[in-house]
Amino acid sequence: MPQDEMAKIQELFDNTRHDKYPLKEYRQVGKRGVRRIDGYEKATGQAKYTLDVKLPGMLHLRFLTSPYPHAEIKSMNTSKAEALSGSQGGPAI
Amino acid sequence: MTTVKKKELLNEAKIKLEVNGDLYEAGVEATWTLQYVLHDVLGLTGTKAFCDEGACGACTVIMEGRPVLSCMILAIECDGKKIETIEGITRTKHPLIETYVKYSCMQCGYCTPGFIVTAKALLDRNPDPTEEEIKQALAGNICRCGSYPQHIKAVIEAASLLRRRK
Repeated sequence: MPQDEMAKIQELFDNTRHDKYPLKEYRQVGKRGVRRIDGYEKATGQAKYTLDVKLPGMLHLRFLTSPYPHAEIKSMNTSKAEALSGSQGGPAI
Repeated sequence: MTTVKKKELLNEAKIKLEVNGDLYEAGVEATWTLQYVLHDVLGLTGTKAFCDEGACGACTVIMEGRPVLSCMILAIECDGKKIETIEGITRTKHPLIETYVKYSCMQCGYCTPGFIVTAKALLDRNPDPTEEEIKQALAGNICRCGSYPQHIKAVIEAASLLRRRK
């Protein structure tokens, strides 16, 4: 195989080949100087994620998983959980 | 002084914190972490909780000049400490915020406040860090969107902006 043809094939497998010949101006993908709309919010920590949301009367939930694999629940004593202050609704299986 | 009250604590202890120059007094339980107190009790939601086991660095705050993982510190140990969070860095209009937006160092943005706090602590003790020093300083922060190459550019530019300001 000729040498220059081999080089062409090798370049095809080079993941960074597009950086070698950058266009002066891209229209959409790869356009330089575009800023995120929400960049300032995210950088300053003001962006609200699910953990940051607090609603009035919000309930918290805890999972208690079985320590035994493939076990069958025959009975469950939930009186201690229900006696906790502010507990609403019993545990569900 | 802002006093935060919370009802029905079992083993309550009073602590005083100086967060971003403001004095806070809060009743805390022995098991509460500093991250929980900052995020849920004081309402400074910029300090994010992600792994909650000291692996990701999203909850980093500056305590007495050192970047620390707030999810790994019990709040009860922090009585009388000076703490700086991302809200305080925003308030001082630190150039890191501007350069982080300029270089798009975020995709989902959840890790970004932790990165900025760590980078600010680096710039406080080293005003002219090299690329290697920035990589080493930010090594404790994890970003699963893969924004790592951008952070180095942003911190280098923020450092030059800071030096010009002085």
